[in-house]
Amino acid sequence: MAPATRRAALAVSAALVILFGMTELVARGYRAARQERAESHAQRAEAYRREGRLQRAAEEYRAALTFAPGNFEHRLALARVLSAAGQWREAERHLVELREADPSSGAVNLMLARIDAQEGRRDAAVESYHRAIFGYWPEAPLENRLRARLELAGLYHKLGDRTKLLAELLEAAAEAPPDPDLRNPIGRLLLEYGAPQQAADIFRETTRLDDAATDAWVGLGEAERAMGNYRAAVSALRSARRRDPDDPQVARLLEETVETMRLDPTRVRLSGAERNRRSREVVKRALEALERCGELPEESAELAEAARKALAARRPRRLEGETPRMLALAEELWRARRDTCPKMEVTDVALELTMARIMRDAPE
Amino acid sequence: MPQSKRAGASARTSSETQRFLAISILIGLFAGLLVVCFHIAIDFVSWYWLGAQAGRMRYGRLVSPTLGALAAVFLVSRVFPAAQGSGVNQAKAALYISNGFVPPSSIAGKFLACSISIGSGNSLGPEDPALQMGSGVASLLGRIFRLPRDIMRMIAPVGAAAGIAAAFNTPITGVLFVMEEVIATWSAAVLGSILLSAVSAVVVVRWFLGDQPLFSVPVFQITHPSELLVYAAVGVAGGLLSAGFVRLIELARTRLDRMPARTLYAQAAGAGLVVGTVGLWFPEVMGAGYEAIDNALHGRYDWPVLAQLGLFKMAVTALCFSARIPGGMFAPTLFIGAMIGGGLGGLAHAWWPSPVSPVESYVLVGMGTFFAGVFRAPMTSIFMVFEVSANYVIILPVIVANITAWFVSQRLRPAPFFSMVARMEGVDLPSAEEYRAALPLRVEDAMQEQPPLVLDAAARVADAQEAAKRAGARAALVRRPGGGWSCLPREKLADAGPPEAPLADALELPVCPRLYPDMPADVALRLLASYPLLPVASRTERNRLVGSVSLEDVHRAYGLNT
Repeated sequence: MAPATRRAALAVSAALVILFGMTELVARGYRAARQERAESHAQRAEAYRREGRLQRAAEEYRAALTFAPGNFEHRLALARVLSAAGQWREAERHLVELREADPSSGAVNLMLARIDAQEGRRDAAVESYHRAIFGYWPEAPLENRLRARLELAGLYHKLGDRTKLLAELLEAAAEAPPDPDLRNPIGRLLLEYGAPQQAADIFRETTRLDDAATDAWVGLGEAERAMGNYRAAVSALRSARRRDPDDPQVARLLEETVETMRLDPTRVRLSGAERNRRSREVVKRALEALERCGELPEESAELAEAARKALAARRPRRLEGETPRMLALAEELWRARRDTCPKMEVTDVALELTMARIMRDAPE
Repeated sequence: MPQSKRAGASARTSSETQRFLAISILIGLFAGLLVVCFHIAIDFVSWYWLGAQAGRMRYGRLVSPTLGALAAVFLVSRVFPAAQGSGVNQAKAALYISNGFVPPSSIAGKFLACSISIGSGNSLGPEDPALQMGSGVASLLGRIFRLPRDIMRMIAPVGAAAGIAAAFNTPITGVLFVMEEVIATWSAAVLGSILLSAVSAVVVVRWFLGDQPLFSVPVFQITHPSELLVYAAVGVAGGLLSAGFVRLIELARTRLDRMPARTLYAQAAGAGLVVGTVGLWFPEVMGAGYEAIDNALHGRYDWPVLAQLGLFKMAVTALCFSARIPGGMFAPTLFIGAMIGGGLGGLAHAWWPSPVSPVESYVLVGMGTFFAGVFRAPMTSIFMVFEVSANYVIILPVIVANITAWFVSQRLRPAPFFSMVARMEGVDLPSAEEYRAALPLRVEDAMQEQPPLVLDAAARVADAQEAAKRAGARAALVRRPGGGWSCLPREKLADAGPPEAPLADALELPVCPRLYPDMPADVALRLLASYPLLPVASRTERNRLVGSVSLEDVHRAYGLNT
């Protein structure tokens, strides 16, 4: 290498080192300033979010992201705020990007699942819920997974897929930690979606874990009542009342259940006369329920008339044939009421429960 | 002795090549460092001058671009006159006019003036200035290392590639743009240097600023094949609007150039004021606009807002550029394309009969269309979309839309943007597109499919002389026994003897070079200085003659009167 070239190379190398060092100093300050600005915007955004000013919060989170575009937490927070504000499209774009960065994030997948469900993308929603359930949750993983599973169950409920719904709820019940606050909602959903046996199991388990869990006792009572186990239901509800004597809901449930016990003609160990009396009472109350529908169509009116005559007629000496006839008449009246005024609310809970029991037990 | 001289020359060439490659890396490193500082300077100016975010300093936003424009125009008109212009033409001028010389003051001038103009919110981008700074650094280093003139001429594009690659954080785009627009050829001699400088510049930028792409883009997919028609429509719109945009700049600049020189500051201030006024309602149009593109890619805007942003940005960018406020055009063209694409995507969502991709995918695809239409660099535009977004999923829509935009724009406005600007500035720089369009003549364009006379080496001399007389040919091709041809001038054949002897015995028949139809006519022209006639052979059957070419044939092909 010629001396002139060597000198030039040395000078250029020195200049490069100096410029590199200076740039490093400047860049360090720049990065720190960006970080500081990003955090400052994120803090303001969080404050706005807490005040419920979601648009301002979103603006601030967007500003934070211009300074720290790779910040996962800020982007997730922005997506959360946008979702809360109903700006699904923008939220979704951020979430899709976050899922690219971290496919296993439970929070991201849960939010995407909600958006997919909201937009009617059923398969995508189910997939995202599953990803959320099996995803990574840095905080409270059990609770979050359970919440995701319950939301998935809710989606199946909306879609009318009872089998998958119950499967999810049973999985949730199996995975639920021994915390009444987490287990009770599962039992409630099982009860709501028509699985009283499983609901009773989970409530019973919860009362065993925490004897003071009033809600679990109430749930157990409702589940037992739904299965027609009125005695067990009354026992559970009494336990609930002992723990919370002032709860009007417990008192009402107990009262309704006791009333149902007194009305139900299908209960075992009833004398023939008592069974017949109850069946006549059921017919009478079913007729009243039908009459509350207002003007009846011809067929229902004829049925009501027949019921009135049957109730007015003298009770026969031998009751073996009379009781089943009365129960069949009650069933017909109940169906007629259901067909005539399906939207009318039933005020007679004891009758409703009894009819459910009679119709369930009736031969096809 | 001649041999050793050649060997010496070869050794020197090899050493120079190595030196050039090493210097290319240095160019990349310096350009990368400069661009990092430039990027930081723009942000600092933006934070402390314009105010970081919309919503604050509402009226500061009105005056900030005006003050920035005045300061920047003062710098380039009074302190650093070499720093005027967008930067691309300056790099081309270094290549074609000034043997690689770029004034060092242009580096400082561009740095300061553009940091102020862009940071204060004027609707211009940092890429073209970065390109010019890269060229300036390259030129400076070339002179420090006393590179020979032929290498010095190529050094500005090497620096330009480093500058633009660093500005976009995209090595391939930097290389492609320089190959496609600045030097207009795929020269292997310079490709290695350009690649090295671009890559080393990007390494430096990523070292300091991180390796995230310019935009974070969610994943998109094409939902239905018929959607390609919508993407083609985005390309058509991009092409039409880009042609309109270039025309708008031409008109505005012509009008402003006619005004007295003393109005220079008034023009800049007026343009800045317009930007500030638009910025009161649409702050997104201020500055380079990358945040707005990112927001559009994340579905922040509905299609009417996207369309408005695109149109307003077109207007204010044309105004800023025409008023000679220093800054680049790359970022604004990406912005406009993104917004127009997004706007059309939103319309497609409402009206297109089959399912279409999210609006944001149109933002991404649209980004390159306007660039392709304005700068007529379709390859660069395609790869730029991939590189700035790190998203290679929607390759087909990007290609369809960008090529369509390029085609439409080319039909509407024959002169590309930078050529137009250069001509308006009184410099006639060659247009890369014109270079590409002017196809070189090939041997097949000049050759005669029926050679005037083809003889066999075994033919008798008398027969050959008779045949030459009959054909009136000035030269003959003689097929040699072992393959190949000799080119025999008529005079040599006339002097040959004895008449009964075969040609091969009567004459010395040296092999003459053979041509192929696809070779440039220029090659034939050089060889025809030594041979009167040359055979043109088939590439698949080397001994099959497909024609011949003479000097007259080549002249005729070039349209010369022979």
